[in-house]
Amino acid sequence: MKKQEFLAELKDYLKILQDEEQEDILEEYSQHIEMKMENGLSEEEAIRDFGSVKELAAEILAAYHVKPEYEPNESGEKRRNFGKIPFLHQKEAEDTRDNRASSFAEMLKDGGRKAVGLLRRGAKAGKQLFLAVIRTAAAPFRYGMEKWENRRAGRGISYTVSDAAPETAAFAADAGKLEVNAEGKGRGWEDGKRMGDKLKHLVVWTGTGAWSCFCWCCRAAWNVCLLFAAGSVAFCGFLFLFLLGTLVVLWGQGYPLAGIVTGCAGVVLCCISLTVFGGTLFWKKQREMSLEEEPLKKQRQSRRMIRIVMAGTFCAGVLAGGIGTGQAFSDFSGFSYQWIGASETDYETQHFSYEIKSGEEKPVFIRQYFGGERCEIVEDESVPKDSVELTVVYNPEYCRPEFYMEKGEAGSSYLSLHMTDVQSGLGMLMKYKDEFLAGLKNRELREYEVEYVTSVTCRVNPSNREQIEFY
Amino acid sequence: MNAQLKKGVLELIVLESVRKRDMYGYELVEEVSKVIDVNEGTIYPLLKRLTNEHYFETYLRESSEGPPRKYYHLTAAGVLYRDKLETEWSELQMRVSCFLNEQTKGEV
Repeated sequence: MKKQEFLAELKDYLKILQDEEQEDILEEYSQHIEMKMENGLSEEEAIRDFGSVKELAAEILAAYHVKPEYEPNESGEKRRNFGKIPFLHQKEAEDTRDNRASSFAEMLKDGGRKAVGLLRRGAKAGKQLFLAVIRTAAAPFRYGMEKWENRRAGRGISYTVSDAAPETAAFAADAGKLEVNAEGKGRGWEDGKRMGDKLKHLVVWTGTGAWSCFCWCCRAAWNVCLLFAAGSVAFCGFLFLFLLGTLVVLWGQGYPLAGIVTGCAGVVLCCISLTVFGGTLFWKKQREMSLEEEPLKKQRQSRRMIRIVMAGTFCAGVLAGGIGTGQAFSDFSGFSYQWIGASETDYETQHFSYEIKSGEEKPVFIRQYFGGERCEIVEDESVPKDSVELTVVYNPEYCRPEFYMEKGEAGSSYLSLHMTDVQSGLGMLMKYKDEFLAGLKNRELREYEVEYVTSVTCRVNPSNREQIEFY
Repeated sequence: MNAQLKKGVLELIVLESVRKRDMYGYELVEEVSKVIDVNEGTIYPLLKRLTNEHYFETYLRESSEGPPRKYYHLTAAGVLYRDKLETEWSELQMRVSCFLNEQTKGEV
């Protein structure tokens, strides 16, 4: 076998490795063969010592812990796979025979290895994420660099291969990594040219980078502002949509809400149209490289269509808002006010009497205000002497009077009536809410007279009149 | 020599050789061949494996006689690994020798 054959065959087995790795390995073997030939061996002999190419490749790949049967799915490119490699498995079998005693240790090692593998994968994912962030941040610079590189590549710069033996150089060319010019000898840079070019390179790189950075900053700022504005408008839109929902339900129940509902719908339309319009205003980077005409045009056209539609929706929304407001005004101006007084039959009268101790000329104090009403003192002959009568006209649904008497200093008496609440606020609300809501449906605003006490009278015999005093 | 025995001590010999002096592939094959008979098919994959496991570092050094050569250098981890192998080898050697001596004595 010739050296080239050997290396070509080996390379074929090593296709799974990265190009640089393949390069590295093949270069080393090539050198080794060369040195053996220098020491007098023939090409065949030098290669014979390597043994079977297939086995050699398997041994090499074993260092990378790859699966021997690996066959990636690549369309159009057939990769050699090892299929069944009996010798590899045989070697494994030999190993297990020897290490059966330490199989438990192997298991532990295996578990540990798996854990380490997991950790490594996690670290790799983290590293990828970090790199992605860095890459995005450095995107403008890279873009500038790529443009610059493309221009350079267009000129066809070749790299140096100094003092290369023609065979190695040709072999390297086979590997596709390096470009060598026809003479097989390297072509070096002239020093002056290199310096000037480097300087130019640096200036252009900074310039492109700075400009791209500036563009990126502007774009980012615009996008952020747009996002913020669109986001808040969208939020308002959702809020009004929610409101619309509740109003529609109430309207369905008979309340005069037609105007407000229309107005709300109008506002929702406006908000949605604004948001979508804002969405189309997103400033995307103009990529020069390899964009086909068709999708770009279509995208532009669709964007324009969306913008027109959204503008139309916005107008419709404003119109609806106006109509709704007008309707709402006309609705509410049609409301009437009603005052519903309490009927006479609601009230009750109750009498309390108090006996003044005979012989005492002490004053009797009576509370002047009861439940908001001023007490009247009436002189009545029909009232027996030394007796005070308190009459209360009240609404039994709300309150109940109770009579209190306290003895003050020096024997004077204090009389008062205490109104206890019969009904709670919630009870009252529940009683009137149905009527009130029904009134709303009829475009009436009702107000109910709610009185606890209508009047309080205090009747005394004229002879006791001087004794009675207010406090 | 029995292939298994060779395989067992090859790593140790290789590590020791490189510890003494950084070497490139061809040189190393020659060095190891002084101790045991070995072929390139075994050495190079071994070197690759030890490098991937970070016991070796490699670097290119220009040479006057041809393209740059890849030299192998023992890392700190490699030194530790080599020491461990040597300890294991000494112990194995001692135990096997003891065992064989016992058997001989026993037979007598």
